[in-house]
Amino acid sequence: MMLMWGPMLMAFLMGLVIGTRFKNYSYFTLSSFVCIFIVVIIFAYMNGQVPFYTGINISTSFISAAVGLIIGKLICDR
Amino acid sequence: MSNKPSMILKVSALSISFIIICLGILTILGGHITPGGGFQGGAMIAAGIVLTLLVYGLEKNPFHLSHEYVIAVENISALGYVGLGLVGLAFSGFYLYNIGADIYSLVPSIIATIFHYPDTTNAGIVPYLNIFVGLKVLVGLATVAIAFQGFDKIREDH
Repeated sequence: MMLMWGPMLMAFLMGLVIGTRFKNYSYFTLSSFVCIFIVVIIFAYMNGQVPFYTGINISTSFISAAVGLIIGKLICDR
Repeated sequence: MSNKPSMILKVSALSISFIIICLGILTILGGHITPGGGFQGGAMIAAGIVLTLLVYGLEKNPFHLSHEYVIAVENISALGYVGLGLVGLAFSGFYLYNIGADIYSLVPSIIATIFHYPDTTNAGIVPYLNIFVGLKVLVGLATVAIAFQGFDKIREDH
């Protein structure tokens, strides 16, 4: 089992750059983020090992991007 | 018929755009070995932002792309792309030479190690170029959509 940290790191950074622009929105609370993160995990699992086909059976870049978006939103809470 | 978005759209659009943005990032990062790349991934991320722009409008858009942010991302992306090309020119004599992969063994190994992309392929600087192109396309297309929304608002005000 091989974990590719390059794409994970880059996905996290790109998610962070975009996530800092999230503003607080009344229909979108913390529980909404939890729900979306569960959907993201299911989505990543259905994606499979995209794009490298050598690691664990989940798209780690996809999850890293989502984590970056959420952390970016939490860091620059507008 | 009202032009206001329904409650279903208001609740679901941001969630869907969140997924679209993650998928766009995935497309950018797989650009060197799968179909897609910087432009396509950047367009996907911009599509996620445009979706929120259409549903929530310019003022209530949850993605606040300020003028300074757009300028900063655009400049960093353009300078990063040119910079990678110039690094190749400086060490190998060829503009945009893939110093991370270094298939002709033209650059010192320490430089090749610095620019090596850590994945299973020997992609070198290509993923970094994809990322810069993706960020540039993202802010470029999002700015076009924001400008159109702004023009609409000005027309309505007059």
